[in-house]
Amino acid sequence: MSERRPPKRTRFLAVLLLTDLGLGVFFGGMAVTSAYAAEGDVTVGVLPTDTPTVEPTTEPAAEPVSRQASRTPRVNSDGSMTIDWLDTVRDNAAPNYSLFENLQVSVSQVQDLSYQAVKVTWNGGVETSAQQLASNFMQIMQCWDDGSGSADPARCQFGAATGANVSLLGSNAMTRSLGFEGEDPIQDYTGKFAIRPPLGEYEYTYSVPFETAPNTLYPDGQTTHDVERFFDATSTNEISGARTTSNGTGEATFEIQTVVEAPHLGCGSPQADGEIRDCWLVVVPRGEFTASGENFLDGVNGRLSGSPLSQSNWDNRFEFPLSFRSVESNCPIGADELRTTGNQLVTPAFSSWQSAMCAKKSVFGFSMIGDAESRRNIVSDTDGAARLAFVDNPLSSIEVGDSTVVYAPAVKSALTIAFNINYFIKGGYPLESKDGQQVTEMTLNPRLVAKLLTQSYKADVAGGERLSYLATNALNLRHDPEFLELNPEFDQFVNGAEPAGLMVPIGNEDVFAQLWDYVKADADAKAFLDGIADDWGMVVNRNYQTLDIDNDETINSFPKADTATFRESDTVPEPGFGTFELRPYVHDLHDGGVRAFRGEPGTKTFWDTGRSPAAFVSSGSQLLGRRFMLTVTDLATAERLGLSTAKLINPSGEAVQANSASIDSAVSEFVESNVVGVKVSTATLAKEESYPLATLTYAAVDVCRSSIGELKSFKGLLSHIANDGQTIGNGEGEIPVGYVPLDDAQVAQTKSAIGKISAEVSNPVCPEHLASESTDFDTTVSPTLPTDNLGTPVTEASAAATGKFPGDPSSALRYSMLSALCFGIPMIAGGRTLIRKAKSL
Amino acid sequence: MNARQKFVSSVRALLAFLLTAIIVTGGSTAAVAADYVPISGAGSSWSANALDQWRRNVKQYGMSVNYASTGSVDGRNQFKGGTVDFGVSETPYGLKDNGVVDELPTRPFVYIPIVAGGTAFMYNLTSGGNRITNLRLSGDVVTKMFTGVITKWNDAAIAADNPGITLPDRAVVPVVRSDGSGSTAQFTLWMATKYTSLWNNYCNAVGRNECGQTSFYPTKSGMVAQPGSQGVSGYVAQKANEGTITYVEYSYALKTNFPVAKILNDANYYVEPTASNVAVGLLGAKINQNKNSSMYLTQELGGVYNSKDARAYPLSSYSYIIVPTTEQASFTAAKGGTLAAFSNYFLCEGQQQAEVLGYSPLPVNLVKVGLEQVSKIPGADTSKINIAKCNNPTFSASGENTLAKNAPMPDACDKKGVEQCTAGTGGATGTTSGGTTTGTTITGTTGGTTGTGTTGGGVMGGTMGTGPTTCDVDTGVCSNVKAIPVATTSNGWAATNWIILSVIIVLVLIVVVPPVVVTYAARKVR
Repeated sequence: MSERRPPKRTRFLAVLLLTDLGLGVFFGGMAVTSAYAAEGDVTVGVLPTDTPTVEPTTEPAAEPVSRQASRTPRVNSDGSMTIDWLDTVRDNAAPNYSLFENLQVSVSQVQDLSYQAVKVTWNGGVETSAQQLASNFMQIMQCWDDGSGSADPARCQFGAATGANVSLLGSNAMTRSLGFEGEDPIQDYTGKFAIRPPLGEYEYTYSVPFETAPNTLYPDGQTTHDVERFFDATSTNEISGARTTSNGTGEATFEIQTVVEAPHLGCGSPQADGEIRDCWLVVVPRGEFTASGENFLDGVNGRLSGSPLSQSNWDNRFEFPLSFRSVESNCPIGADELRTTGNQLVTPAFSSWQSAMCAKKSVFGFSMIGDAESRRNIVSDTDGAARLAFVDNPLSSIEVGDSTVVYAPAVKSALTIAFNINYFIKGGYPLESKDGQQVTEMTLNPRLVAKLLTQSYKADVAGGERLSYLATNALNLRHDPEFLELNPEFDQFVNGAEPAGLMVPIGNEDVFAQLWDYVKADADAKAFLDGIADDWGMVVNRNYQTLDIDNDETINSFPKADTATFRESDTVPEPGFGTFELRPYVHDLHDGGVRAFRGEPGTKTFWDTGRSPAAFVSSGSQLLGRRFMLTVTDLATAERLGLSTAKLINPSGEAVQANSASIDSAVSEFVESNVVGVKVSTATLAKEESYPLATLTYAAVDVCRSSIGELKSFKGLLSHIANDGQTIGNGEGEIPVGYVPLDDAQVAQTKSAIGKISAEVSNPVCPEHLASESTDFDTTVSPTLPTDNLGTPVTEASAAATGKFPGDPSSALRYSMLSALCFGIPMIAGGRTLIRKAKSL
Repeated sequence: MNARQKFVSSVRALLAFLLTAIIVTGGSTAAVAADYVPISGAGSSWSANALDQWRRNVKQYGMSVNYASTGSVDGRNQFKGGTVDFGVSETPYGLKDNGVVDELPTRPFVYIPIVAGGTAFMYNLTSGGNRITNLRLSGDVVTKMFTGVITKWNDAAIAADNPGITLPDRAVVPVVRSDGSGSTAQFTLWMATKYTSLWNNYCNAVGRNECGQTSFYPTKSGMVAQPGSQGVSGYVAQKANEGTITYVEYSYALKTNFPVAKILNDANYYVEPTASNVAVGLLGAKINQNKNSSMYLTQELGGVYNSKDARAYPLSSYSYIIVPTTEQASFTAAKGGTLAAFSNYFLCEGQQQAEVLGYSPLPVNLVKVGLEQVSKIPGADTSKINIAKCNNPTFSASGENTLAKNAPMPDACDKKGVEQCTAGTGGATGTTSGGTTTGTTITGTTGGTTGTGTTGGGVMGGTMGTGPTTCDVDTGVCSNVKAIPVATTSNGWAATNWIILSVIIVLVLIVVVPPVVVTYAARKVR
């Protein structure tokens, strides 16, 4: 072997060695951090505090925005971001300058985003023209970030909205269309902006194309003028126009979309280089002058025309850099799912747990069915029935029979009456300055809830204004003196502003029974249901009086009992429309929330003879800035969509809103059920701060009807629920804002249930398991299976923490392996030479 | 090359192998986010309860599916108009309805069976203050109730079906769909086929001559028309709306906790549309097997209506999803890929949920041809479509429908005669005339009387603890496997354990081997 090598080779080897050692150090470091992170994941018993707070990260939002900004936008301590219009150098000769110069826009959260709602607020603006969106309004959209430091109009989700709002805005104002060439003096009308005329025509048309973010679906990116290939009116999150009030302020709730909802934007998806795709939230203020300087009053219909994407309008934009949580689906489709069922309240939480468990290769299927159906299901003899169900109330002793059912507290939440209402104020009244803004407070008492749930307002019954049995009743909630006494602001609303009833879901749930119990526990409301008029002469709809709800202990659904029908004229055939066209059920609590958010009550009372055959159709969603929606929904859904929730008057006479404190207070007053240790809601709450519709949902497991394998998977799920599954947040496996984490005693109860399941796994006593023990129970059992029993549930919990459900041990191990290899390979390859060299020294 | 060099190079090779293995293993868990694009569909409310659950479950795989339950007719029209990526309907295109032929869409498409179920007769009736939950009806009586021939609940014909119930003197209020509906089409086809003259007479009387099968129910006074399955079931479920009866998918009765009528089949048994009874009923369905037909995979239900099996529910059927087979307008290959993955999911894993929800899982023959159709969707990842990996609860080694095979025989008290079972049906738990077991929501067959040896708990007990059926990838042989979820879970753990073990071994090797090798080599040299 020659000792002398060519110097070139030596140098190469030296570089190789140094690179390798460097890599080794890097991987070593990564190993330590990953291990640290994984350990953080499995910490037991550390529960978050009650109030979910936005934790601002210390690093700045994103790379500084290089758009000649004199001030770089910074993230405020509460996670929000504020930008002044003059933070960017603007042309003070522009006609709209004086309208925009004082504008300041804030976005409530710009980092660590997932699929959620954020609030966009502004001040220093000029009031939007009355009724229409003819001048001085805001247009809001989401765009993907190409790394150039600024948003590109071709990369924004905008221009797909349709419907009634078209009549509010000027031509092209809610589209991507650039109108005619030269309409905007600084807009480019060549290249991608020009659309070749179709065969036989000669006129070019101009529009801002949409370009997709490059990702696995569209690797090279795609550019199109046909945006419906990617987003349409039902999927887009754009806000075509939001109103500014007379005091210059305004606000809008904006739905942030991730790569799952909008793959063409790709926000939150890992890119080729491993970086998570950032995005922009763009707010384009619109003043009184078009791109060419024309006053809106001189335009067609007297409304401001032109697309916000047109260069002159675009240059006035505010742009907020958005950073996302990584949206990674570690869970490929195709695995067999283990069935579970549950009620509507637990569904948003379960969706998150399900994703986290799926990533851990423990795949669950979930059927959202009513509590009563779930309870019957887990103990039924139907093959393949789910053996774990999330329910509020335990099985009755008749239902449970000789089955062995264990209960583990899973999550606390609340049913709410949520609303999406814009101030719509009569001219000259003090609140006129708030016109178009969102109402954030409303108080309801049990009798008002009773009125809403019993079609007692005239507007909630087909032809209600002509019915004698409703003659003394208010037209709707907003005209009810009892409501106005509690909510005086609504007295200043214009007459035409009225809710499309209170939307309620079809079906049965324990929490619906709880809502009725709340109503009936109030003497006035109970009397009202029984036919006693309120102080203003309003009586219950007689169709509900006959239901005898005040004495019905079993009611757990929302009846729609009035069968009256109505038709405007003889052109509409008999019998016209009825309750199910006027006030249709929503599918479920979540559907109710989404409908309230979008202003779509689903009312179909317009007789459309253009259809074959003619039919009742919807006359469209409620107009932007003119919404009046009320729905029954769960707190998590209300929070996700940015809906406000009503304060309810509790038995102490206090108006209480659903939040972690009021929910905890109410749950602490829950009473023992027929099953020892399982607490259920009560209408007789004594504490002033208790929210009447707080809920505690249990996971109920039929131990003996589950196979040993199913029990092991349930154990894993419950361990997650008892640990990471109680963290509030938008991350995978966490519970969304709107839930309240279990307290220590409740977690201990869940761990005790896990212990019972473990005991059955290790020492089966159910006859079903003893019979099939030989085949069901050996090879698949983890070697570290603890043999604890009822008495030592804590052991199980710690077992779960120390290795059965680690966060992700593999990455730490992988890194340490790589690090070791980096050091090891040169030792093997050159160790002998080195030692000999050393000896020769 | 001497022995030492050989040894060193083999150690190198081993390490290189391990390094590759680690990187490969690592790569498999780092999934890519943008696998799917949101897709949207519209149509059948009959199928909506199943679709909604599937949509919810595929979220965990990063898939976003929107569905508007607007009725079959609207679903077909929207698909034709290109405003949705898929439609769902109980009936195909091309049928003549009310004198108008429903033209085929211009975009190329295929039908894929989506879910089976029974069109149930949900009703609201009390007698002496107690809810009746065990009503039985023969086919001609149902037809007469929905055509205005029978107008009172205490009609002698209804009483003849129900020897055990005292029926009230109350008007029969048929509740029908006001919108264009596949449920209506299925129901009217059954009446037009089985009770032709009754149905034709009615159609003629209300001015819709020879209406045959129709999606738009011809009404007359005394009937109530409501929009959507939610509308009709919601209407009947109002406590005050006594005397009402409607046709709606069984799941809606479960959802609203209301009973459904047991319908007399041609074997003279009154049966409920449970998952297994629907599965048995559908054994009689003829599937259009002509691949060149525009009706390929659509159903011909005459054999279902006339099934002689004592367990067969006569109004059993399945619905279709209508999917595009070319990229067109807003339907891109990316959307096709998602639609194919979603279809693959609902044909296999999704069917596991069917029974709990009030549907019946699709049998193997329909799933097999269904999966072939899925492959035609542009952008479909055909490598993922494999019947052998399809976790459908009806599959068995023999190719028989497990559900149909194990379906319990009806109780003796369900036979036409003087006896009448008392157990509740549908979503109603209580028994009607006292005495026997409650809580038999799903099957409703475990009444007080004992049936034959194969009924009720016997069969169920026998299959307790068995997992879903799986099929061998290579041989295609299907078998019942114990507790599939266990296997999946424990495989996960076994893999992790393996990694931990191998890492420990390799680490030890890395620390120990080089010095040993070097020392060994050095000694040799010396």
